[in-house]
Amino acid sequence: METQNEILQELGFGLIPNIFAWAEKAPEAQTALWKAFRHGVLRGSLPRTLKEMMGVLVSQANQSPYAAQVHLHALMVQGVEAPLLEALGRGEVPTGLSPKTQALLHFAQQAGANPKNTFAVAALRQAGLEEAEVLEAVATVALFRMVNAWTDLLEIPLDAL
Amino acid sequence: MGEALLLRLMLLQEAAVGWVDVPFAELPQQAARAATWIFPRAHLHALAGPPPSPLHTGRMRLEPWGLVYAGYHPGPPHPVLYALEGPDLNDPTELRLAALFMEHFLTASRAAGYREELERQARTDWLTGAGNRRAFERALQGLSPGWGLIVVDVDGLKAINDTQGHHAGDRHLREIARQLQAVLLQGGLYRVGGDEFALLFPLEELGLLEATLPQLPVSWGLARGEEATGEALYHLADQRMYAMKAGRKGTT
Repeated sequence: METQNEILQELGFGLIPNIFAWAEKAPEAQTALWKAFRHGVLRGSLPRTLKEMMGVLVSQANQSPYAAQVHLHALMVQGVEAPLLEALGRGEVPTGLSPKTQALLHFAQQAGANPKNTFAVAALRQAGLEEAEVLEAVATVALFRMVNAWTDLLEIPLDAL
Repeated sequence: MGEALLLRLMLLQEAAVGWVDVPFAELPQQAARAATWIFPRAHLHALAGPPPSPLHTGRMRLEPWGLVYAGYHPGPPHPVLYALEGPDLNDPTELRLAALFMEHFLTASRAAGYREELERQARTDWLTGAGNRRAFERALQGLSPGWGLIVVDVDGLKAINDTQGHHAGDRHLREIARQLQAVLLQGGLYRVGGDEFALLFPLEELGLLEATLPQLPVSWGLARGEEATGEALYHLADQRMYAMKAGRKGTT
């Protein structure tokens, strides 16, 4: 119950998204998924908006529709420009962003497809990210790969957006 | 960068919303980090030294290399100057975005400064600088295992007030508080009544306290955390303090 209350309060959607609702019969798994999302995406040094954009690219790289669609929708309702959303929807890094943001999104795209690509991590450091930001970026990719496996294996349907 | 203006505004909004409950001392670092995501070629930093020319809190000055704002800072006589260096201020969009960022940052900084000063005043005894009764009760409720409580009553304060005046009594209280504070390492000192202090401390510090307290004009009572909790612990230490005081009166 505590986890479900946290989800309701902190996401503020008025419902528990399917990704968490599907774990209702396995409360520990539900808590693990929620805490990973809460601390990996909602909190931390890297802006949440950019982590959501990373999530779309990781999910597109894995052809995993749930997180890609959910976070594209979230970015759209928050007011991100349509050309940016369209590029993300195609699994591409949008143009017209700052070099640091582009580096972060290229990292999500490359490491999302190949988590053994250590060169991608080095590129983040070269782009000027602080070490804490580099670690969060890696954790974000790892988190979305886990989310992708969870939603794909269980064929979790998209929420009514 | 024109394509991504809304995204940059979102990043600014996200940062500003997050600053609402950030401690004052952590704000500049958080804001500097946020700036790197919103302004590709800019960085936020504090300017050292007093203002080169008068600049009142909240005012902005445009320099060829960036924006300078005077920010609120509790303590120093001059406001701290924060500069956002590097954005292309010839571009009206960049200028507006930079000004918006700095206004939000300084508003959050001023609010955090006032909030923390009010919180400090709300838990501090104005005369001695020790914690006040409210701070003591909060600390007592959260007392860790292995800690103890000593209640200290200042002997002869009424006589000093009556014969030398209240200023002398105040000086006496401040001096006692200073000496008690000097002995505490991790522990906390609280003024819980007119002439009564309480000390909460890890029991490893008890030896030093037991060596110091007999040198001060005070009566005191000790209660260990394992004997009771909360109000009951306070009551126990208080009773022991009064027993010492009564014993002293009986011998004089």
